Amino acid sequence: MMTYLRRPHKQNTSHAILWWTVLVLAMIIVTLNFSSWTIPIGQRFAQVAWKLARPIRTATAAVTLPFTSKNALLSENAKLKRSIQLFTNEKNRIAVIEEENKVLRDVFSRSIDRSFVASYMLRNGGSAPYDVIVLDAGAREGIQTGDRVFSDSVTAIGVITRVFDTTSFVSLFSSPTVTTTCILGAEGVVLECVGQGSGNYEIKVPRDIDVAIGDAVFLPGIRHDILGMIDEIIDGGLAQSVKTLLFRAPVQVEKESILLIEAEHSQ
Amino acid sequence: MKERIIFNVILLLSCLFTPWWFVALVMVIGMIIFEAYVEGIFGAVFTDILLGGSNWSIFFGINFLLSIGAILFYIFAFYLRRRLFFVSDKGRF
Repeated sequence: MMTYLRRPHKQNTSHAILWWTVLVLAMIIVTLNFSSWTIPIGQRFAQVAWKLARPIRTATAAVTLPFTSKNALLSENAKLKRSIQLFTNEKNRIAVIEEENKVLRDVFSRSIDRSFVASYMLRNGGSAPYDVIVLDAGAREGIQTGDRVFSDSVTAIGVITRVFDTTSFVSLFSSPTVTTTCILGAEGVVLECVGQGSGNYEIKVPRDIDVAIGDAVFLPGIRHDILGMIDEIIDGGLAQSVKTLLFRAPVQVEKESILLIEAEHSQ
Repeated sequence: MKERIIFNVILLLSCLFTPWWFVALVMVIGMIIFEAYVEGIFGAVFTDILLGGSNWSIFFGINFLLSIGAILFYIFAFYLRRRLFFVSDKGRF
């Protein structure tokens, strides 16, 4: 009688290794997801790399500048367009403020001055579902959860959702499915807008409300912070009781490097 | 081995400086090219930690979507790699 060595089951071994690896890693991920210490440690580590990368980015831009004359012109053009947009925002804001000035006189003891903390954008998550921005200002600078974030002194883009020692997370108003209460135009109709991603929003309004392209949409409040400008009106006709307004933020957040955080609690 | 280390450096830099979808792309390529590319899962976990998880959460409030996706693709890549003609026994092109 002859005996043979049994051939090792390579496939079974590799399957076992695969599933054990998956099981262990899945457990690690679930643990990290529910641990409060993981994100602050990650932030502290990454902040070093982000801060080191800042001068490298600036130096690279300086070196490539002579070879990018066309790009420089395009960039200047974009900046000029941005300035025009800012002036338009200011104009719209002033018009609304003048309109409400009479109403506000009796409550004018409330200050409309405010202070901002300038912060550098360390990291942009990209698009949904990671529609988040990491800023280099945190609890040490007095930032708190719920503080509003602006791209300039009048354009609101998001709100602080998490604060660490030296960094903080911003959740954008325009993130998909995020609902924000807003005020439409000079008439002051209070509505809810829904984020569509990349600085775009959507509002559904009754058909009888007069709206024009270019009308501003504001955040509720005494200061009339601008959320965006109406870009498109989709009117379904008489059969529909509502019309859809599409509007977008006047700035592209991903192209910004400095953002302003309003210290709401310091008022 | 040298290629794997270079690819890991690319993965680390993409975790730190690029959008999440680019990290996912690097991770997918790594898992197809290299055998048992566990570093891809670690990269995904690191990105999730840096961005504080996704805005959406799945069951039991888990919002480490990229990490969960990395694990699922890790399993998929295990079977996929056997059927790809350009992946050699050594685990790369």
